[in-house]
Amino acid sequence: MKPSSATAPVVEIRRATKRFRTPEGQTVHALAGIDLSVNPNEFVTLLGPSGCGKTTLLRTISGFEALDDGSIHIQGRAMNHIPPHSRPVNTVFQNYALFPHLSVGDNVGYGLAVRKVPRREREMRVGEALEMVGMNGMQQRSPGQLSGGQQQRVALARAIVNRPALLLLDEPLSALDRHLRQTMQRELKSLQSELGIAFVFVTHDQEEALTMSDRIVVLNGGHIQQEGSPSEIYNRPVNTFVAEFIGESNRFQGMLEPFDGQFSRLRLEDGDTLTLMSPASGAADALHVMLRPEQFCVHKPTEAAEEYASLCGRLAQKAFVGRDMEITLETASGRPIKAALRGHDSRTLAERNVGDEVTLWYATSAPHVIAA
Amino acid sequence: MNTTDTASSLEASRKPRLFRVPRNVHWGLLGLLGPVTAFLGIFFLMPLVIMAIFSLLEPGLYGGVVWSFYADNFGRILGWANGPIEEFDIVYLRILMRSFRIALITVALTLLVCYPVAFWVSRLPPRRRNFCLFLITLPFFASLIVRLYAWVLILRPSGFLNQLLSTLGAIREPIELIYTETAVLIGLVYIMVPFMFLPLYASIEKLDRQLIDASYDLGAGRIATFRRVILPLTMPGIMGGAILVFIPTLGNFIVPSLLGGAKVLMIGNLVEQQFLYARNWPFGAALAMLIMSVVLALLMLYVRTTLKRRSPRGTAAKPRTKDRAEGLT
Repeated sequence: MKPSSATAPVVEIRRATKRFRTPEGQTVHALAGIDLSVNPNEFVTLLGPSGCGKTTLLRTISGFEALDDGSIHIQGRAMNHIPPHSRPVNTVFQNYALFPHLSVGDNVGYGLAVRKVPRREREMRVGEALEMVGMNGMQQRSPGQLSGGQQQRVALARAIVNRPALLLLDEPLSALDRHLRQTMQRELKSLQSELGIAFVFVTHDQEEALTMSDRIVVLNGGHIQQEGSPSEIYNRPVNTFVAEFIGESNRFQGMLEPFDGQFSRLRLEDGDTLTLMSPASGAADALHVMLRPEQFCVHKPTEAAEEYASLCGRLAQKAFVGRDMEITLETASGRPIKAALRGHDSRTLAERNVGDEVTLWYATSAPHVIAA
Repeated sequence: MNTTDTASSLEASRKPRLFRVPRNVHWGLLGLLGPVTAFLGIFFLMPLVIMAIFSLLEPGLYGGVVWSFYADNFGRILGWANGPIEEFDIVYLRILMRSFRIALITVALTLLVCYPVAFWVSRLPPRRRNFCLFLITLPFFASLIVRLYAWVLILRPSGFLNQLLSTLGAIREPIELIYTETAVLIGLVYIMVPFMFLPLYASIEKLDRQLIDASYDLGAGRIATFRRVILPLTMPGIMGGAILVFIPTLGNFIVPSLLGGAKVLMIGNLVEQQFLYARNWPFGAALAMLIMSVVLALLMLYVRTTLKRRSPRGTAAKPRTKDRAEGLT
């Protein structure tokens, strides 16, 4: 998160609630009391599976959906009864929504023309905005002549040319191919810091969220599951939903044995044990513990400051995917464990065959305890 | 050796033909398009040509035509006829102008009626949308004459509307509704609404709703959004509907003769009179040709201007003009 002590948040959302009626007559809470604030110059990502409420939240900020309850303030002004066209925000739509009857230049200049900005200033600003997205000189083209990535850039220019207080992006990269998407991710991020505008970015792609965000807000079922920096979200998920949704993970469920002075042990349902360093809460409760695939290694580090514990099993699957060797280990009880190994570990495993016994080591500080 | 063999056999297979058909003839296409072309040629183009010729012939004294060139058919309308029997009369031009005015007003009124309805229908859930489209086409199931007589019953002095108004106490004496230009307009709008609605609906339904959202998002209010986005994008439908309404309205003679009586003549009535009662086919043909040429000229003007407006920048003009053409049909 970027420091913002001196400045007030750009957007402040309090107890935002939105209900929908399904055709079957049920009520669904798209937003069930969301509290969120976005600071100036912050890149916030709303992340969640489809139907989690992230697009609804975005549309309530832009004004296309009205809240049933709660409030939205933008730059300190209450927005509840302000129509979309009077809000100081702009949106980059999922399918770009470029006007097909206008040229690229007129598309970008649309917001300025509506606000009666004089023509010369308009042309100058349109040129600047297109320059920022690397599309200057394309003013005369028609949107139909552009590739997906170019259309995306024009849509971006069309939004930023109005100098909004906040830019909303509704899954803008989902229609692009993987390579272009990665390029655009980097460009978006640098554009954001260059402009100094707060971005609220909606996506269901966790990789995208991790790459670009200052802060990620994970949504599910109309609730905020967790918010925090990408590394917080990745390394310390607060619940099983976040742990499963972000990245690959091995999840263990079991009863915690009493702290023996050095380690705690988690006795899993099928008899395996997992050694933990942290004396978690103490109570002999049912616990969820998460280990990321890349937290395993084959060669136990010899001069490690930490204590290491191991899991043994039979190699059930292995796949070389370039940087990593991805394997699945099957423990004696049949529990699959996903691990991603690289370097020396990867080379060692390359010589092993499926069915061989393999021991995986993990630092006892690595397992992350999820509060139920 | 092998190759020369096949070459010579090819040569042999070609030789015995009596006549060679050009390689690029597509028999399938010819078979599909031939009958239609022949049908249109005989039953559409031929009568048109006959009428065009008749319009330049001298009318016979007792009907029929005299086979000699005679420009006064057009002269009677446009001003150069000064014969002993047939003189220029400004009344024809007046009727022509009235027909144009009525047709334009009809276009404007049907547009006004249909645009909001088409918008509303296009936003309905699919099942109700289809039901509404069915309702729009419902009038076609009843005879036009029957439907227009219903309007006679509604509009005449002792008709439904007058009775309703006098029962409500709004009027003392029946107001004159039938046999006025208003009645003709009511009738024309009534019969022309489906022709405006369908092309309009087709282009409004295609309109991407996200574009409207994008316009609001960029700071345009309702009016600006309508003017800058919705109107230009639905223009093909508007023009298509306008053409479909304008042309039949201009030549319509049933509505003015049933609801306009003898007072509100349109050019269609005039043509009908010349053919059926005055038995002056050449003059009737001249009137018909005049309407047709004016309409064609207007259409060509429209096509030319839209092509010009669409083509300036780059290659995008091509697919877009195609869009336009689709809207026209």
